[in-house]
Amino acid sequence: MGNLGQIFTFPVIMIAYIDPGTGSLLLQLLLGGIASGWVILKLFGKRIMARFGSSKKDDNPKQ
Amino acid sequence: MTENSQIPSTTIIEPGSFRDRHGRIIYSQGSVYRGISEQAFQNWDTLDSSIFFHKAIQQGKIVQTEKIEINKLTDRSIGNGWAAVLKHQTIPFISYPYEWSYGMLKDAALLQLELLESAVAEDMTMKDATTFNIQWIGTQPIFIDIASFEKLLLGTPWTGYRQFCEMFLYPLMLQAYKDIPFHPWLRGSIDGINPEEFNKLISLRDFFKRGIFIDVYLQSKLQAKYAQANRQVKDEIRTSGFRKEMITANIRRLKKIISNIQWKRIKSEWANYATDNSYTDSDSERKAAFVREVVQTKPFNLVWDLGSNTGRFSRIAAEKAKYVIAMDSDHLAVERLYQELKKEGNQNILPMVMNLADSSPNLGWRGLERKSLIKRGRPDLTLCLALIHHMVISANIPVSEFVDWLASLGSDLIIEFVTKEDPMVIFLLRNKEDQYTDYELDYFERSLMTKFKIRKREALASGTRYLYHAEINSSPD
Repeated sequence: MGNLGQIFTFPVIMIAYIDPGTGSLLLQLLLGGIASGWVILKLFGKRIMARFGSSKKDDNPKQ
Repeated sequence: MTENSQIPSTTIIEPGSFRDRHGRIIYSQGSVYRGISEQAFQNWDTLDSSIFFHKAIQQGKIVQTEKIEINKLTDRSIGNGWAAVLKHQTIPFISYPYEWSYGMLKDAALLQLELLESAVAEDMTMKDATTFNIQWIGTQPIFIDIASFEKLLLGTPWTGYRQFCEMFLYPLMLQAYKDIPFHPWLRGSIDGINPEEFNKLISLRDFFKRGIFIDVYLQSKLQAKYAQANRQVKDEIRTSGFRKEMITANIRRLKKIISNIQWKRIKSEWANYATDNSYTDSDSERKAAFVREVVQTKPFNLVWDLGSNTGRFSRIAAEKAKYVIAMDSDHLAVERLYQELKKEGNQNILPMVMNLADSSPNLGWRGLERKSLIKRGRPDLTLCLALIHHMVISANIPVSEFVDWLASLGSDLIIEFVTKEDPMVIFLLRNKEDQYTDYELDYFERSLMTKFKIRKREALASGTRYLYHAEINSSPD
């Protein structure tokens, strides 16, 4: 059960007083070629689905 | 607590240095200290034993820093609450990114990346990437925030990447790709431009330009998507197998972008660059001689050259004075001066973009984090050459107001009055109603004499320009 309202931080793996930004961290993984396919799918999935005429709406998946 | 007699009245904690709880800047007796926490102290130990750190200090890229024994401090209260105290080299005059020319922001960005790359090679990282960590010694950018360096936790991406884009990359792109000066944006938002907002400025035509697809488009989309991420993503990152070589690759990619994008206006307008003057040659020489004579009279510590333009008089002042701030509202003029001085390796003239009719205010939390211009250090000599007509006629500042402001600087003054017969003034008045009844030589002189003692007065050969050397009245009016 995640807490959707919570700003994401990295208390364990990173020490910083600024918010590194989850998206920015993921982008670095992407650039490193190691983010798994589902990250990209999740990002562009809706558009790809829309293109193929899918009527699925998947805005905020329940935790 | 130490006894009162041991605390010099000049010990002040920097009120604007609070964001990072692991350290605090403290001023005492003209020196700059940094109190650091236990955790920051451990990072300091690692930093101090690294090679890149000392090499960078030697090259003047990081401020000279040393650990000070607390019991050797004159004011030991500096160490209260801290695990250790560091002492830093002082910066002659603080400046902020919304006062830098394009080339200055670019070189600051390259310095940030260069230091990060050398840190990563020795398993350290920089936890943030803010323009406020970089200052200047003349035209040499220098990194001041030692506490930014910490041990790199292997397997983690760079935490400062987003901030780097917001504070360095996007402002540069704004000016390079859109020819929109970044200064109002950075002054309006001291934390920079965020990815989602910047992405909104991007059109199809920009899409294939360097850095746009990855650092703007993808970053903004991923940021928006994962703004409220959950545990799944966190685990994804932790177990991703990220390697530090990927940070290095990303740094090199960013370096390439920043090195290659350019502010187009530099190329097109330099060729046609016209200086704002209507001098006869003898006027010009006399003016230079006048300034030189005054500058030789005493050792000036800090000179403000207001409306510095080509920097000619800044250079003359810098022959003798310790440090000169060359301010002009014309970005191109400041950029040009910066590039010339940089080529010469100049370290005692600091070019700054500044509109004196609307100079930098106090910003940030309680107006403490970024200081207004005057708070950063009063000049002991002010040059105000070929400027007053712009202030009064273009910016509509009354003559007495302007003189009053000059008096508030509390320094010696070299000022040039340009009469209404001068071609430049005629040009400024061409589309305006001449409401400037106060803009007359007599009135100007009388205003000047209410606050200053006129030491020297010279009418230039052209007959439309008058030079004054004035000293501030020691007794308040």
